[in-house]
Amino acid sequence: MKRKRMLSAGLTALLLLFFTAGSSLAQVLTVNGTVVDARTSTPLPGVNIVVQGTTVGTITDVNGKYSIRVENPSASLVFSYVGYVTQTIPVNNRSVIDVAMSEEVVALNELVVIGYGTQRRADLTGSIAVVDVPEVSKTATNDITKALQGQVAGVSIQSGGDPGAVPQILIRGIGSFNNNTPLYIVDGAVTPINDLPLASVESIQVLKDASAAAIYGSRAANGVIIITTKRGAAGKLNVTYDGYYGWQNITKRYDVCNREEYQMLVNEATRNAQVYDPTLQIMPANDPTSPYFVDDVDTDWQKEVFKTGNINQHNLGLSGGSENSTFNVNLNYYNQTPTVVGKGPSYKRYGVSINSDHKSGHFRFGESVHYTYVDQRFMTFLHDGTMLLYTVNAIPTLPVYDPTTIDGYSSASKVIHGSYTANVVGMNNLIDSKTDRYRFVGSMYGEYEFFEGLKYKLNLSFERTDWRDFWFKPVHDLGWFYVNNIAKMNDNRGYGQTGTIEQTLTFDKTIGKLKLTAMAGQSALNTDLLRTYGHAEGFSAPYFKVLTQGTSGISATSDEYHSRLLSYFGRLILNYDDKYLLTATMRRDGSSRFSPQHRWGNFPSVAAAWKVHNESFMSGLADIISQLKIRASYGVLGNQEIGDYLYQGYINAYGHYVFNGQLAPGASQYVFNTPDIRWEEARSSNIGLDFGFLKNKILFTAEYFYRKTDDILVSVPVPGVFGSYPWESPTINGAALENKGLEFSASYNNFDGEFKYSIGANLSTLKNKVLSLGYGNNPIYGEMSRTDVGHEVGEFYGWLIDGIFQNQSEIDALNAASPIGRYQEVQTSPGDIKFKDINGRDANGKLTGKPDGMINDDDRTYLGSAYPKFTFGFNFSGSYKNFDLTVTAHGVYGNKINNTIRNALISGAGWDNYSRELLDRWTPQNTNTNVPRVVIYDPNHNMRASSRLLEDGSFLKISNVELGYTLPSALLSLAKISSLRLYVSAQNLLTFTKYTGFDPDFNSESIFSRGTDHANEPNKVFNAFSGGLPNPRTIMIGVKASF
Amino acid sequence: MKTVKYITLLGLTLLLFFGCSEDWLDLKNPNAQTTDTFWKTETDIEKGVNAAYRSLNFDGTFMRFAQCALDFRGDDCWSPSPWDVLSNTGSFRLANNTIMQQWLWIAFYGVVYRANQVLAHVDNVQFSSSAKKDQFKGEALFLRGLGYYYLVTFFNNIPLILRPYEKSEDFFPSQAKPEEVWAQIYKDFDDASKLLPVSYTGKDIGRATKGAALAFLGKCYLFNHDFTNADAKFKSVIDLGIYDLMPNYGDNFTEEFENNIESIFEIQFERNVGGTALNWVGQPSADGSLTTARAITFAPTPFGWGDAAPTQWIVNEFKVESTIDGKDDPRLRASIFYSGDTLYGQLFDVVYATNPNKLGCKKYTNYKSGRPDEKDWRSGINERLMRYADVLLMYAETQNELDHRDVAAHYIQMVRNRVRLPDREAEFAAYTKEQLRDQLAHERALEFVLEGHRFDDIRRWGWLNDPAKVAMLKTHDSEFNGYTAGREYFSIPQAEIETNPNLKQNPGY
Repeated sequence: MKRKRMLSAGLTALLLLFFTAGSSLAQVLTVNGTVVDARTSTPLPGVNIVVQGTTVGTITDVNGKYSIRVENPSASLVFSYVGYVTQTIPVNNRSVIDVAMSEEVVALNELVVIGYGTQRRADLTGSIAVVDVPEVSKTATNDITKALQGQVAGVSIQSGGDPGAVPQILIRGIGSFNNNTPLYIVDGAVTPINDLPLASVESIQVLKDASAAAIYGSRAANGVIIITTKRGAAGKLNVTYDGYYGWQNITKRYDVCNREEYQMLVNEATRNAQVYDPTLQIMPANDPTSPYFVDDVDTDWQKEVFKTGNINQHNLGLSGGSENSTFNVNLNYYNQTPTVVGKGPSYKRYGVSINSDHKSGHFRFGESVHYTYVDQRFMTFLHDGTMLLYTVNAIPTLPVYDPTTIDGYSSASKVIHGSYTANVVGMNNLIDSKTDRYRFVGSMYGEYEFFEGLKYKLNLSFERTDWRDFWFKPVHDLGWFYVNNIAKMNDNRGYGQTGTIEQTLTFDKTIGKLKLTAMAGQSALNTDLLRTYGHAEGFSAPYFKVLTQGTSGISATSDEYHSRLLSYFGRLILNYDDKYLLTATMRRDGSSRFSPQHRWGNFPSVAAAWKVHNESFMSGLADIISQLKIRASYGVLGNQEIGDYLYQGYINAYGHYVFNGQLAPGASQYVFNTPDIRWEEARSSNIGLDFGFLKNKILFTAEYFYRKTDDILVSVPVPGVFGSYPWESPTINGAALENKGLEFSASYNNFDGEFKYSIGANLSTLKNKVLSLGYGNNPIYGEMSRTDVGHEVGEFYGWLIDGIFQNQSEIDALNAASPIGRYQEVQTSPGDIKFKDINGRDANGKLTGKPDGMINDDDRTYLGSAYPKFTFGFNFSGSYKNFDLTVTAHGVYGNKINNTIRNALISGAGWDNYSRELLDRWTPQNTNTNVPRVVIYDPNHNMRASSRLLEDGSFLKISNVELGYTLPSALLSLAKISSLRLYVSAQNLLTFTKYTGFDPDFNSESIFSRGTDHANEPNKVFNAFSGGLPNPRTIMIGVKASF
Repeated sequence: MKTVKYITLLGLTLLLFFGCSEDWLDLKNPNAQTTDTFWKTETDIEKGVNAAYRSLNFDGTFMRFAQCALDFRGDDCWSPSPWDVLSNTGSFRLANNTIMQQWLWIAFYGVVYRANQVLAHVDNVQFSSSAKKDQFKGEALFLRGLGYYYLVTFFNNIPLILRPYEKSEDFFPSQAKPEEVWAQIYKDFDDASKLLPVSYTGKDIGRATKGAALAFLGKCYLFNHDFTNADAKFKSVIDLGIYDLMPNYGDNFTEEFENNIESIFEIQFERNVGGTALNWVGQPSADGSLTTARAITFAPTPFGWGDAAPTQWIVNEFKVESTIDGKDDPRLRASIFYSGDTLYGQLFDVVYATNPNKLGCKKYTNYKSGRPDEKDWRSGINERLMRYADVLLMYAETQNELDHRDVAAHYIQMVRNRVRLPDREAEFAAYTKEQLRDQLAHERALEFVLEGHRFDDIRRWGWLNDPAKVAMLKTHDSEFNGYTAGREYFSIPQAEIETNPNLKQNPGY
């Protein structure tokens, strides 16, 4: 709106220029030049240029070029552009004046998309973070979420480094036990955003508090991320290209034993165990007296597995249009190859985005279409093993290749080596595991303006993802536990789709000093999920990987799920005198996931803001305090992100049995329904302060939020006495949680000299507490964690360590003092860990809080938090002449990690490889250590959950350093190129951390086990969130050009 | 004119706003029948009964863990598994939180729950004949009794649940006294024995019979030293007159002679029916396999995982006595792989050339199936839970305890005769009660090697309370070094205690 007005002002100025031109006889000078963005060096079309003190003016064309006649050579030109700092430049007789315009740090007049509408940034009442898209676009990633890491206060993102990985995002902590993923809206369509090219994105806004998200009430409890994509502008065809190519490496290594160290430790562990298990023998491969003793192999499996991968992207943009119709087309190719040997993981994407906008009189319409095809390959795994674990704990006494096996890869023998790791090199080369994914996201709108201020808008959107998950396991022998004699194949296909119809009626009116915007709307959403699973076995080589080539076990199964949501909503925004702002929102939602009597939920919210700086009493301070806004909001949001049909009980019709060789059909109820489930509700309050100093050179925002979620839909594990497994537990409205935190962000910019720079930083804290849990408040246990009332979700839980037993008499004394004659375990011996006795039970079975002379489950306690005390991000961007530099960093402080890979290496209890930490294990000769003895089968349970298994998870990561050079425009104009920037960048360059794992930034498996680093199971399902490879270090070169 | 247009458009808009009706939100589960329409017909009940049988085929029941839990703790079998969940089972060193206890608990309670669902609905359904109703009811009672038999012998202190879940408070039962559980087991088996037919034909062969209920009832009485009742039940099984010993001992453990004349109750497995998905845990899937992983678990590497192995002691025990032809007891070769055998088409002495003293579990493996090994996990060999030989030797035991040593000796010799061991009936008849107990211990060890009865026998005979016997067991199987009082029962699964605060951990943990 604003821009259009300026445009017409510019045209008027141009006309005036023509009129005046002829009459001038004085020495007239024509000034030419190009106006670019100071930071990105991209040309700025539509910049308003006026000769100071006159009405003479022009605007820049689509390539940022302008030409203006100046009558007085000593006059000054005023360059102004929405969202940019206005510059006044004396002509001084020059005929060429190139200008680099700097953005206002926060473009307070910028329009922010707030859901079914826009609002001036300065007028926001809720907590909405606007992401600096050009800045985050410097991150090379397949997923937009990854680029947000460290950028927004209050948004925590955990992300592994798998090609195609989908990061885990939490906006303001854990609100729910089911789904903490925010709602993503792309051009009005509800859609997953993985696979959407970052290059086609125009704006990203993160709606954090209830008031901001309220208009999406039903599914906004985890926050909303609204994304709009680039659209065309009137003018000639604008062509942009950007591309990069990079090299990726996993740089971290675990310090594991070499052959001699491994053989020494595993033999010692065996001898220590022979005391109780005389039948245990030293494995022949490790026994110097055996003919099978291995002394000529010393494989470094990490060296064999990790290799350089590549990442590259090409993006071509075409946009343009006329006054009444504009368009934008974006073509994207993205390819990331594995950083490990073998077939995956890799991710290749082809994407196209097309949109256009048209207007005719009072009618506007337009559409936006995104289509991507993704070819993603996974790391392969067998059973519950993980490629990374098998890489680090593979035994050095086994070569990688062995021509005598059926597949050419070596295979550990149970009898000779004992180890049961799989040959990862063979595994990842032989097994195919991939997905093809086709995603369409489209939306179309039509808007009619009845009269000034009253508009009706209809928005239709549709998202559909079709996929094929393919898995083929040939006959192989990759270790004694990994022998496959029957080639098997899965061919699973399905699609998910979401269609939405939305209509809104918006009314704008200014009555004196009061500006009013009222909106009412309705939306209906339908989601379908249909899946078919095909399986066949018995393929023979040469393999033809189609189901029909299977000779046995051929089966086809399918399922389908549907859900619907019907919503009515309204919003009133009041602005009085640009000082007092009020937003009130109401939404009513009905969900098919609840029974008719619990179907509807109401979600109101209200927010107010006071722009103190616009008060007359502040006018004297205007030069110092350029902005002071106080905001407060309160609202209720809903959540229904659970499975479909849970309120209805169902019969599993596959409980078949067999009698006399014939199928006997069986059926029964296996999973409990919960007819009374209803909406989960989150009530949240937000207080925010926005400061701007020195003409907004310094900006500072502080926010405090408090969110209480009630009736959390949670699957509380129920006891197994009805034969159901923990993951089959019914979903109930069982829990309440609170989250609270402080968020700060600050920036300083200095665009005055030739060295222009800006510095930004953000920091947030988060504290969550469980207020109640379902079914009698019984704690929920995760991996080494416990979620209990009064504590955090997934707090680490286990035993405390009280040193190492140095001699048998120490153990005997404790045993003698124990009421059951045993302090710890039956076979506890010197060198084992002594756990701390902290609790016992009285005669009635109640916990006493006092030691009772024996170690059992009651002696467990809380061991630390999986949540950082604070999360922070930092970014610097500066330019000097044609050079620009960006540095971003992010990190967390104060959390603990359960590093399962390290824990496997330090167990000292099996035949797989050991960590070199164990070289300092307790022995009768080496008693001054905190590393317990090694012993097969760990009869003392030294590896039970304890403080020993936890590591400090704090880290600071230099996530991106990018150095760019923009070629001088004089040079480029010869080649008809309007701008060209070359850059080199290093991503994930350095991580400062004490964490010994691959990467302290990882995807965790569940909310209850957030601090557990598994680095595993990346391909459980096509959109699995867990594990995978660590973030690689990436070195890239790139180019950005526009024509 | 313009005004009319606006009004029309506005009206249309409003119409669109409220055009959606509420029943648009009513969606039915398209994947499965809902519970409110089930349990109405005879077919529903039959399906429910079949699903209760299917519950015997989970990881925690007889797909794998039940056999591990039963066998590994005996002195005839140990676990060399690198997986500590298995290797620590037999050495009484399991941590409280392993899936061994948890899967046993959930899967056997699954049998109970499935049976309870049938029992809750069976009386509300019209049947084609009262015989059908009796049969289904009897089967459900039998399966509930069986489920509780294993639960109480594994865990001792367990909740007793006799009806399906109704409300959320039901989730948190307290433990019943073991005597109460046993009383219910007696009652279930007894009721079942009165309802079940003596035998079946055609596609029903393999269902629980009167004989099965009586035999298990006797076994339960015997476990609790109620010899008089036990004796009567075993006698009635024998008096049914339909059971006999198979001429060839080894035919009891292969796919070829399933549901044979010696068989009283078997868990049915079949490779050729059903799908291939292993369905270890969780509700069954449409492509679930109806097979067991017992063979791959127990078979020696490289043919299986070698998670179990016979002890040298049991082999020695077989050598104590030769057959009347001066040969080794044929049960040794039928049960255990050792030098001189052929397995999966290969010569033992070639495969294990470096380890000539190797012993492997042979019983219930597909060593002569023609398949190269067990590594597709799927074995179709029925697990014989109750053989007539067991009834005969348990009857002999009750007769000894009731001081009818001549009858006891007769039945002991009956079982020996099949494997051509010398006739020592007269000698045994002249034994003291103590001597005959020891002889029975020896006979049962050989007859039921690797069949999961040994640990229950040891416990029943009170050996675990006798330091001399415990010392002897340690010489048989070093896994007993980890035994301490109380560990004859598993710990209540930690996950169960954590979700149900009304449960108390077993003593010894």
